[in-house]
Amino acid sequence: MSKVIDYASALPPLPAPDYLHDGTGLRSWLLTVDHKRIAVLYMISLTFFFMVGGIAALLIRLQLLSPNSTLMEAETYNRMFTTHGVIMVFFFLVPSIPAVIGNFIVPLQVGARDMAFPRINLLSWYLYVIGGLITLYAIISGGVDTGWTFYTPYSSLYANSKVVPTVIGIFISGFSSILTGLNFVVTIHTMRAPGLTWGRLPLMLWSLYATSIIFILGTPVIAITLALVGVERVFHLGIFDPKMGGDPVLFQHLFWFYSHPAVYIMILPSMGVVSDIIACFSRKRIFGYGFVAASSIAIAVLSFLVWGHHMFVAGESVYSAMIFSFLSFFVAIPSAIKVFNWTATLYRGSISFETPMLYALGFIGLFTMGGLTGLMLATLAVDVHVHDTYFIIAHFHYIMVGGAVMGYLGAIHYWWPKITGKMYPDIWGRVSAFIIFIGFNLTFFPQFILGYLGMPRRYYTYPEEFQMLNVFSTAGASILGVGYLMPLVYLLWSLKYGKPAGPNPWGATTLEWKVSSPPPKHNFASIPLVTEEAYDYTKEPTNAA
Amino acid sequence: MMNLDSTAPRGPQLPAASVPSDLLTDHNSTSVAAYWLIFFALMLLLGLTVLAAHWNLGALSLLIALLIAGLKAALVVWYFMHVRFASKLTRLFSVAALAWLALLMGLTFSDYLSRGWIVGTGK
Amino acid sequence: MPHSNHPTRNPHLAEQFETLAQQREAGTLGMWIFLATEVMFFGGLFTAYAVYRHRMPQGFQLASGEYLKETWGSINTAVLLGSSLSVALAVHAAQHGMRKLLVWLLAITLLLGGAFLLIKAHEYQLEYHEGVIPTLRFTYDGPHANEVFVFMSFYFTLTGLHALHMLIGLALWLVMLIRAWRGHFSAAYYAPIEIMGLYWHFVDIIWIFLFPLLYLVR
Repeated sequence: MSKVIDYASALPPLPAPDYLHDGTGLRSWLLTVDHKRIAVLYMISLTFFFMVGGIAALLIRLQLLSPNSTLMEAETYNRMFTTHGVIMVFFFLVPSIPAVIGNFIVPLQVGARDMAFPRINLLSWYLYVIGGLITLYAIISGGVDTGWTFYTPYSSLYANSKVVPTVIGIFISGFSSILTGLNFVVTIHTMRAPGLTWGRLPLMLWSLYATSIIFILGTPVIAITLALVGVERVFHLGIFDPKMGGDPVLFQHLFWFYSHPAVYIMILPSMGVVSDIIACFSRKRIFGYGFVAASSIAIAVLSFLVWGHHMFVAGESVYSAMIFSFLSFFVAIPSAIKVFNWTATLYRGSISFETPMLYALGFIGLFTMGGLTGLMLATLAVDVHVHDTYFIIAHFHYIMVGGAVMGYLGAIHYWWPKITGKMYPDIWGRVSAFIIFIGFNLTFFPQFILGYLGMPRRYYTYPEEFQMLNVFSTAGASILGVGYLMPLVYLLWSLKYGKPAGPNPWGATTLEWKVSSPPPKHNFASIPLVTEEAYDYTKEPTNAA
Repeated sequence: MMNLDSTAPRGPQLPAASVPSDLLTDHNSTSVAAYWLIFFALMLLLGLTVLAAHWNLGALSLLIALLIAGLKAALVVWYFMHVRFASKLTRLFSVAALAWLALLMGLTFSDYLSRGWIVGTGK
Repeated sequence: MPHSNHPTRNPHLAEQFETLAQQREAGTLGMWIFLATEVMFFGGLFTAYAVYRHRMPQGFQLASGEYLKETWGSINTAVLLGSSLSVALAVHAAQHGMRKLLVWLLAITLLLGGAFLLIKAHEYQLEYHEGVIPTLRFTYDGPHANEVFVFMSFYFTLTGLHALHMLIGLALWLVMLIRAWRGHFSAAYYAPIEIMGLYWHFVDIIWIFLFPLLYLVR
């Protein structure tokens, strides 16, 4: 056989395509095991569910414009607030930052080529989607009216709505969370690049690690609890039926054992985002890094000790209530430590107000308000007065929306250039952030007052004297809605028309900014060697365009 | 502070092909004889637990049953699941789940055991 | 040349890992974390059971003594403990590259696991005839009927969930058996057997607690 001269090998190799372009077509996306693509898949599906939950919210606020509103009857209203809660909690907030930002960033910040278990990562997305579709079916075919808390015996015996498919959907998506958490913990433990000690980890990773502890140890409990509700509905087992000697409060114990830590699942990742952003846009290392890192773990652990504060008036024993109240004061401490350390970081920092920073600063203020009102609720006597009123709703929306959602938006805006390789017009980012801030406060601040004055939650009507504050709240909600739609527009716009981002448009120091934007499929040509702390801003930033 | 680092080497390494890495030097295996011994111990404990159920121990019987079960579980974990040779990290994880379950049961029972301590506040 | 195409890279080594040791550590840690989630999953049920046993001690005692077959339960416990032994020996065989022995031990594990499930099915059948299956066939009308009903509800959910885990385990062992038969494992690569073994031992431990808690309430 004649010798073939291989000319091609003499040429320099073609640059590898980035992860977005390495393989095209639906199959390459739906069967991907690349953590970056999975993150994008999550981002798209999550945005969809956020809109479903958001529409439910707008309908609720429209109904509450007037005490005599004929927009919907009581039955429909019940289904509306349940839909809002179920979708927002289980299909938006719980996955949000971990599944979208975490999946993208963890291997990059850790200096690895992918997660420890890429196929399990893909499985987690499918479980999320399947769970979501089943729940969507339940909503469309009539909905659930039990509230997202599914209290028994109403949910297990008397409710005449789609409880079973809804709990099945939540059950399945719960496994999505568990697998995500599992992947994060194993990746962070076993795949850190050489030199990346625990003391050099970005605080984002500390937060995601702490969040994963809750995913792993909490989610299974709600899985079995909701499964029990479903089984009880189908087989009439009587476990939560008072007539059979069952105790409905037991459901609440099991439910809140997960659902309280779940709220820390929703806030911890945002706190990690805020740390990374504050450091970058103050050009300073995070003050008290060790304390902030330890506080994440403390929050994760303490969060499991306080669930009874949701049950002060449910029938748990007074002694038990006192224990839970006492422990609930403690869980505020690590959160406060973070707020103080962020503030100390800002002090004498070289601060700039790009969009991510605006969200981070907004987070600190609004989260503090939510957190302080949380302390008020931990106080047994106060909670007895305001439980099941709009005070509670305002409290948790300050944390979930003012905190978690702002953190999510901040994260999207911070890492958008890395994920897509494009810059969005920052002016529009800032305008939207501002509109969101205004809209948010107008929506929820009046609710503190309403709640304290006695307006109960989950009612489709209210006494006449509460109308003015409700009108303000609805007005705020419309503004908030506009604020949320704007990023959808300019971010999508940036995909086609945005300025190309370099590897490090913000001049940040963590590992993900050392690779191109978007990153190549396997992240690093060679595994990096880490020799510095996470936030070493004392040197000149490497801001290659 | 306890070293929680993974003991596996990371980062740029020689290609792993020629190194039979599952034969880790720290993985001294339990002998076949030892496994059989543990099995017989487990069977003895099984016999004990069944016997104990027929003694009239009253309130203690639950405690005894749980202690024996706990001992059996410990033997399985330590010897069959190789926690005997595992890293500190693995041991921490194997204990953490148990601790969390204890938390769930403990705090839940703080409610049930103290109900009715204040007269008129329910059963 | 791309990292994963390096000519001397071990074919068992997945792309995202640098060394087999790292891969194995990740796999083991991952399984332990999964087992932690299972502890909490069953744990929720155990907690509910504990609460009701505390609140309905007499009914539980009655139901357990009257309707749960202590002899069959004891035999099943022995069977499952035996399967844990066969698994531990199988891992040992794999560690030492003894393929034939590994295959035999996995086959024995499958047999023992199958025997457990058959015995369980037999017990369920007896309970059906005795009329103590909640909702499906519950004809008990003696003292503490509600409490007996609740106890049996827990009995079936707990053992049913456990049996489901066993079924999944057996299916996976079958896959392992086929792979072992085809020579996929060796002294240099047997991590899947070991990791699967962890799962199986855990399922055994659940039963170790279920047996006295359900069958031996006195």
